[in-house]
Amino acid sequence: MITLKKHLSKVLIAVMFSLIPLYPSPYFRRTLFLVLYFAYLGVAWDILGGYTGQGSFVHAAFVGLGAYTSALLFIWWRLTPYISMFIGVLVSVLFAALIGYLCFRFGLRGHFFFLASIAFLVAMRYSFTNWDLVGGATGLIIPLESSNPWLYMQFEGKLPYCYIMLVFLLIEIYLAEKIVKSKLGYYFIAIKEDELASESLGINTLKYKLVSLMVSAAFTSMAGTLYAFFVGYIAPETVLSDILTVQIVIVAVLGGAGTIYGSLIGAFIMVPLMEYTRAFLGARSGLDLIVLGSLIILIGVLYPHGLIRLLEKIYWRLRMVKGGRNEKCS
Amino acid sequence: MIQHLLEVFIEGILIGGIFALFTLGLNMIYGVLEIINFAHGEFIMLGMYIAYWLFVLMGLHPLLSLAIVFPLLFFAGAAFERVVIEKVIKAHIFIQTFITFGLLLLLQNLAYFFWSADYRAIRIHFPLISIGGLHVSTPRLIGFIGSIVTIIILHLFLTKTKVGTGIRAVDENPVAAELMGINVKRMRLITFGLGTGLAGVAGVFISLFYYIYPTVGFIFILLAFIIVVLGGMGSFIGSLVGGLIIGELESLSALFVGPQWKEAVAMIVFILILLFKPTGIFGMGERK
Amino acid sequence: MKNVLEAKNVSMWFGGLQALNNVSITIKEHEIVGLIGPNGAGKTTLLNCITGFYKPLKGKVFYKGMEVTGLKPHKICKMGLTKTFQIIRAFKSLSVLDNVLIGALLRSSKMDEALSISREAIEKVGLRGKEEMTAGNLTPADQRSLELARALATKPDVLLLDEIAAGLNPVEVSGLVETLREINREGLTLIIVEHVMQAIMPIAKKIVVLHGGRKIAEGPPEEIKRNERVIEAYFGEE
Repeated sequence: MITLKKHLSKVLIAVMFSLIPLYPSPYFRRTLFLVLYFAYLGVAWDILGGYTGQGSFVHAAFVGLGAYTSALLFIWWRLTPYISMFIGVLVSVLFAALIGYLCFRFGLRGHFFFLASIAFLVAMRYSFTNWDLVGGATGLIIPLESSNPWLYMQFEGKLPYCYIMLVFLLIEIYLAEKIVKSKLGYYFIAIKEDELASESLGINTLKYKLVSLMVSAAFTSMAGTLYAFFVGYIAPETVLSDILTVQIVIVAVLGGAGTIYGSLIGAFIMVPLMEYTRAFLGARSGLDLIVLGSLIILIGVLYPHGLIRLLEKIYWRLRMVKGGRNEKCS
Repeated sequence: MIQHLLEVFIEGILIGGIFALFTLGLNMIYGVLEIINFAHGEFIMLGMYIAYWLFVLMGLHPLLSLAIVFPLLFFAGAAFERVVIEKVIKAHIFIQTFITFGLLLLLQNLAYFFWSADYRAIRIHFPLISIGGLHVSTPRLIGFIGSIVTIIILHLFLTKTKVGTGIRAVDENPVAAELMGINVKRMRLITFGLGTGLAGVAGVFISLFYYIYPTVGFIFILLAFIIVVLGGMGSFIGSLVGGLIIGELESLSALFVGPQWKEAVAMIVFILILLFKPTGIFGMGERK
Repeated sequence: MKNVLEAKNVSMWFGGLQALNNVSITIKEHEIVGLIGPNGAGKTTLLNCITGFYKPLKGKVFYKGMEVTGLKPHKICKMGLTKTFQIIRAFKSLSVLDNVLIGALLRSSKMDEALSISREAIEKVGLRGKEEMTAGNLTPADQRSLELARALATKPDVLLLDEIAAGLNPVEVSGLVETLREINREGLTLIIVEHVMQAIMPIAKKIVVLHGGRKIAEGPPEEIKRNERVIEAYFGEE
């Protein structure tokens, strides 16, 4: 399994690097950016949902907080997103600490945690929709500032955004792997497996659930900043939507929750599928979301453990066939 | 002012009765299948659209369309239960919840695809009723009475019939019910169908006075969540009382805080309930 | 010898039901104490009150002279007092080694150190050679041993074992008893909850008997065997 994951990641990364410059269509690059963006969000969600077992529907709120914080700081003071994203992280982590403390302190689990997490997201969306400071329902436009593209993260084409997103994704995967293989990761998995047993082994389950949520929120928030500067326009309907949360979850679950690399597979399937349905069948028809909805049901029924497990199975079968041949040869 | 306040108060009760109806559907499904059906609001939406199209295309009075809506959505729900839910009945609750979210997206956008995002309304004239000088919205009154009648029928079904007793037994203790020879799988099917059917019925009542559009279900599912948690997961009486309380909260907060804030108020109340009394007023809380 | 664990007048209710009524026990260092009683006597409840899974409604718990009443289980575990569960709670989808490693990480955040603590604990309970097996695929007896190894990896001074022999056959039980003796010889204080008296009698120096939430007897095994109230509690029921 480990070898497969290693190979898979290398192959995927190599493919992505070679793909980006090859195809000069702006639409393609937009899609590629979204693939990387959702893969990144999926990995971030996976730390909490997949490893710690706390399936959350609140994650769009962290995307929104990152996006709004950076957009506002840019509009007010032209603060570069490279700095403001860390302020966004701070805001998101504080929010995560607040909701995490409330939910976990009061022992919300299972269904109740889903409901609470979605309630926090919806409450935030309604509040932002009615809050003039953050642009209300119409949202915020990031003003054009073409004087220094790298400083303000405002480029003509989409290509630089793809590279930036890719770098962030690679760093994130590197860090997530480190976390998963450390004490922290083991504790997260222990909590997912059995909270009472974890407590009996000296694990402060409240603390580590909080840590997991905060780490996940911090990663997620950065993607919000990048997305805001990629599209140049944010609104409650785009960065605080329940559909965004569901997309993040599907990316992680489709590929395989609790695997990190599953999110790459998930994003590579979900994003092109949705983008191209939209492109070919019209954006206003809702067909892309029909596809998404069907996909969720299909995957949930057929591969509840994600596609990465399926790939692993195929890989092992292939290896066994190969091994068999080798035996015959010798 | 007093008169206006009273009218708002009555309106809250009327709407609360309808809330109670669709919440009961959601709560029954939770009780028997231990699944939260996120797509519940979409069945309300479908009920509204069916009533609308029967009215527009065939001139059928919405109340008469109940005879079509209930069986249709009962079978739709039962079919979904058999084909999809039954396959994941042992899966992790996260996968189950997630699948119903998929259904939400699917139904919502099918409605969008076929019927566009236009706001529609059933234009029927109802005479204005006034009781003791207080004006009462007639469609809401009809919806309230209809809901109460449906709830009473449901209660009789659950307590007086064999199938109803079976459903209650599974709700109480699935393992024991299985041992007593109750076909648990069939009870799950019927319960899911009943739940979605009731959502459709509530949708028909709501369509008498509310706009109809593809995402309308989301408002109601959020309200249903609040009511279920407030009244207690799995509690019949809890859904009833919770429905009335939230109906009141909705109409009073629209009056005092402003209609654009009423959803945010509801969400904050929801979070407070989740934190301080997640088992609800009448609830037994999460099992297992 | 010093008192290592002391519960004073512990009472616990669930709803209107009193599960423990004024129970006091004192455990000395390096002892093996058997806690027995018929079903529903309050044995598990008492363990949970001691290890912090329940906060007793009345009474106090002292560990090494410090009050630990109402502390969270993970804090109490860190102080060197933990328990295993009546129903098997191994991390079923993880390997044997990972299960024990999670316990060992409490004492050392360094992976290689934690790994060597784990291997030692696995060796001790006789699971060597099964490190890479998935816990869920082990036999119930091995899963019990795994739980024991996992608890040992947290380096406790006092270990509370809740019906650790439940569901094991006589051969497995005697193997387990041997392991427990060995662990005790290395200095651990053991409190062993058993439903069946015979399993505990050979190794325990002291037996505490609970019945209906009260302590009805306390003393060496031979005395307990002859105690009228104990006989009545056991045979009156069956």
